[in-house]
Amino acid sequence: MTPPFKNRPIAGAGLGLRSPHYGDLMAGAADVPWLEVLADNYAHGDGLPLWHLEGIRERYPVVFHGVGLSLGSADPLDSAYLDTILDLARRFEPAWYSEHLAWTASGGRHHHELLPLPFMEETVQTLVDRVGQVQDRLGERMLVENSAAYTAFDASHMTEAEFVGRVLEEADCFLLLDVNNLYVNARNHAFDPLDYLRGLPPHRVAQMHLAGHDDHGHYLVDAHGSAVAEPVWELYAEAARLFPGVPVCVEWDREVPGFEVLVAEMRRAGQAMRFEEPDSGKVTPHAP
Amino acid sequence: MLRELQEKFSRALYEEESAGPQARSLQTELCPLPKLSPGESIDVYRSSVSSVFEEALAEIFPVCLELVGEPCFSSVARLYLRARPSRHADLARVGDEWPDFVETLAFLSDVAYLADVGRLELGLHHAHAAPWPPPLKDPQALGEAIAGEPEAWRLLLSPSATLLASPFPVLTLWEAHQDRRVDRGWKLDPAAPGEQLVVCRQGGDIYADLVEPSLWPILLSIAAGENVARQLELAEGLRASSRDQGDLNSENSMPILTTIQALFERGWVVGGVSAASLEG
Ligand SMILES: [Fe+2]
Repeated sequence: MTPPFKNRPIAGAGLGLRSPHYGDLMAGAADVPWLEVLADNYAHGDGLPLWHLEGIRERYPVVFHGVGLSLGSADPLDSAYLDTILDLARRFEPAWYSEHLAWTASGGRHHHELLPLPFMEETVQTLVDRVGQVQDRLGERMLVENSAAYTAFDASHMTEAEFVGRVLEEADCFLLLDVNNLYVNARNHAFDPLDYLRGLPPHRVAQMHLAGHDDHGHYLVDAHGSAVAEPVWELYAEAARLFPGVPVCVEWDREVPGFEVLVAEMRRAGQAMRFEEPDSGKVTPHAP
Repeated sequence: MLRELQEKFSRALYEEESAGPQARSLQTELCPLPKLSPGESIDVYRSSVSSVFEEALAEIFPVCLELVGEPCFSSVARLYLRARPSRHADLARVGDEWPDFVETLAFLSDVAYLADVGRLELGLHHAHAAPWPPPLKDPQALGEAIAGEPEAWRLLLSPSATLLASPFPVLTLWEAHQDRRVDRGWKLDPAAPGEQLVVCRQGGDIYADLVEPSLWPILLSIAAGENVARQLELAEGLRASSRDQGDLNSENSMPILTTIQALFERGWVVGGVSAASLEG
């Protein structure tokens, strides 16, 4: 099997690709080293979205990120959906593909929302099995992202950190560490995010996410509609120290701001990352 | 156990009221967070799922939203997501059944044109990501081949084309929302005739265009996969009937090759296939 993914240089701080910024990106309005493409936005046909992505791809290295695979679902894996993602991957050659440690569909009904998983043995085995199926199809290892959860299950008998660690090791995949999700969960579930970070296997951390959240007073929601919050920047500084050189990107999906606002967030992430680099100025590509 | 838990969770997401029986059943499986009770947690997910659907529908049907207003659009969206579960991972397909659904809602009977405006907007939405038509190498040669053997050829509609015949002037209405005439007191004339239109993408331009009555049956015939001979017959029939009605200019009003050329130029028709090429 020919792996669909080619080794492309993904290094430093990049951006989540959003359609309002096609023009700025094509004009080279800022120095953006790489882009994270939400593969689902290009999975419903051909036409203009793929035409735009062709143009983007000629100029920027990309990674693929997905939301529709429902990795943690008890349903059979949606092979039609996975085929679409693989076709896109063959065409656009992302450096890697990531999905969420969550479920979005059950009994064939799609909720289009990242839903929480109980941290129990059966869930670990379900994920290990399904990540394995995806990796067999990809011919490469994938990344899984820690998700925000607004509830906890009686059936859980391990911590989120233990759960994530088990999946990474047993499925032999990599982690997309979403620092904002970690912060949101730490606040909502009252645990120490630094303990969580220190418990992660550093050789498995391949990418990070930064995003804004909504503060509802007694709980936080991972909303992707605002700037990265200060405490998340602080947590990111620690993550960048523990996992040096791991590429990071900024996600902003709702009320998408002007390109320059996003670029400023990206630059701040790049500075925070380099600040923590032992050999400053030189960012080591960290591809899985 | 995971399956049962997810089924329970799924049912609770679509309950009309907060703390309904499905939510209460799910609550027994959840533990409270320090500042969030299981009931509140379920509500966070319920409202998030409904706003994801609503936002996706609002993006596909912006004029429909303006026509009924935000509170009504929201309640229709909530009814829709309960009545027509999403069966596809692709959120872009979430509106596919929405126009048919709104047609079934009695309380929307005074906006009877809503479903057709929805079909127009759905056509625009799908035109965006519709496949590119196959490249047409030699239009002239194709035209000649078709003229020589019309019964052997079928014309191909653009993959991005949606045909819509409405008893309401939906394109006029939609356009009044695009150029904001509605904000300057424009009102739909209840006596205005219906409209037949094509929604299509040509290159990067997505547009909706009125179709003149003489062309409509020909377009329907093309969409039905009938051969060009049938479309010639239709053109002849229309010519004859307009002659009977004493239209002095009718003699040359429908030369079929000119018509086909016009269909190509507008991007509605993008090619032809012959029986021979299908066999080959
Ligand atoms: Fe994320």
